[in-house]
Amino acid sequence: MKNLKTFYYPETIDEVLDILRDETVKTAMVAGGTNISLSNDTTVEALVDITRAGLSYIKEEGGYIVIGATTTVRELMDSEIIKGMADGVLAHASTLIATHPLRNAITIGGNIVQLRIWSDLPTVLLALDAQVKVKGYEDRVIPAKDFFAKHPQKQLDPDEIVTEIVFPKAAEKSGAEFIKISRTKGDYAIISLGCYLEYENEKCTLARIAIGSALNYPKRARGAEAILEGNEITEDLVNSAAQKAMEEIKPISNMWGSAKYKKQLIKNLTRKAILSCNKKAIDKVGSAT
Amino acid sequence: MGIEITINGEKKVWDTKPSETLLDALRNHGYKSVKRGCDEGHCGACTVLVDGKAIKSCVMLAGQAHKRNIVTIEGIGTIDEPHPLQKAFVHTGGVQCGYCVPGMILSAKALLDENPVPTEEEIKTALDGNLCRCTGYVKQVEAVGLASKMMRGEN
Ligand SMILES: Cc1cc2nc3c(=O)[nH]c(=O)nc-3n(C[C@H](O)[C@H](O)[C@H](O)COP(=O)(O)OP(=O)(O)OC[C@H]3O[C@@H](n4cnc5c(N)ncnc54)[C@H](O)[C@@H]3O)c2cc1C
Ligand code: FES
Ligand code: FES
Repeated sequence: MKNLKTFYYPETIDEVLDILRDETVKTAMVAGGTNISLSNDTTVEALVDITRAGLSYIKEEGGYIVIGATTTVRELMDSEIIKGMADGVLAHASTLIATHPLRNAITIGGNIVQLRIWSDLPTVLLALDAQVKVKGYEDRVIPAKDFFAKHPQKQLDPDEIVTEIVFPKAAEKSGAEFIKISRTKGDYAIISLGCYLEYENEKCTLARIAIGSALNYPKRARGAEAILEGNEITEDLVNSAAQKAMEEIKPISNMWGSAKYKKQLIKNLTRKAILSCNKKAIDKVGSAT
Repeated sequence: MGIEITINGEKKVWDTKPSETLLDALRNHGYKSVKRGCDEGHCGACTVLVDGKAIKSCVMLAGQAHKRNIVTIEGIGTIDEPHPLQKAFVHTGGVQCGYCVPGMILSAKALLDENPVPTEEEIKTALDGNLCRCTGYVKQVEAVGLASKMMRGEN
């Protein structure tokens, strides 16, 4: 960023918005800085440090868990609220990101806005049906499935900031899982997979299977979900859902894995995740019913 | 651009280039204990403490350190009176070429300040961002356990 001239340190969201709206200077936001510090964007003249604007918190509000955008991955993995939310999958995914000194810096807002093929938290947001709250001239609430339908940076206007990520609390009869396959713990994902199943009586009433690192943006395996929904989970059903997920997600090859290898992973991990969610749901209520 | 920082307990105002990383700013101001390995967040040689937390200074801009409290290895122990972590690293043989050690000790210090009696797993997690090409880590993990005991007066 060789044309960078200055930093701003706003202490409220309104101050952030005022600075972003100033058309005389080309600004960008910095949160953890772990990505933007490496940027060679020559158009940026000023950086707005948003970590002092009161956006670092985790709280419960009614049926929701609300996370401020500058909350770090370290804070997520250590939080009792997050460890208790949806079988702790967001906390678990956070422990698998990068390494300790980076987890102290990386923010949830930065992680989802600066989406890369291997980004981990977007997969979790998609599986848990989170919503992304944005402030600009108008307030917007964007469901994760729309937020990641194209690159998030293309969703946001230059004068908009992500303020919060909101997760619905998991249903009583539910199970959630997150699995990341990487060469070493904390390395970039070859495939990541988030799964959430809800039950009523004997049947799975809601299934969400989100697959990350297969394509440039994380994607739900809708066909596989449809196979599970409305049915009792049997071994055969799990196998056909896994087969379907493998067929419908068409992964791309990259330096972390070939499309062929990723396909096999998608099949195996879908199977593993469904079985794990099923077991968690049963363990919680004595039976999945 | 001027930034106000507290470094190893001293308040300073530094003139920095806004696009400069904290690693460059520190080295330019003489804090040469802060090492550069990869310059992209992988190796941990550049680890410093920012408000008590271990942070990789090569993926943080100096501007982000404004009004923050920075600690480098220059601020820990003295030649005559080394910090228990420094003694423990020497004692167990956790130092060979030494290049990783400033970052390693700062990561360990952040851990012990928050959690004086860590488990081996917790030590490994706290050090997982600091690569060492010499020691094989065993003696470094041991050193942190030993320092924890020394700091509690047990050794
Ligand atoms: C060595 C290394 C390994 C990594 N490994 C992993 C990994 O395994 N898995 C993983 O998921 N991530 C990993 N990451 C993290 C990832 O690459 C990004 O660096 C990180 O997610 C960015 O978060 P940040 O808070 O540091 O964002 P910053 O670098 O501060 O910002 C990134 C971008 O997001 C924008 N932005 C930030 N916050 C907001 C907001 N609230 N509203 C609008 N825009 C915003 C900024 O303007 C900027 O354009 C790794 C990073 C490094 C350096
Ligand atoms: S120099 Fe910063 S992590 Fe390698
Ligand atoms: S002692 Fe040589 S790199 Fe660790």
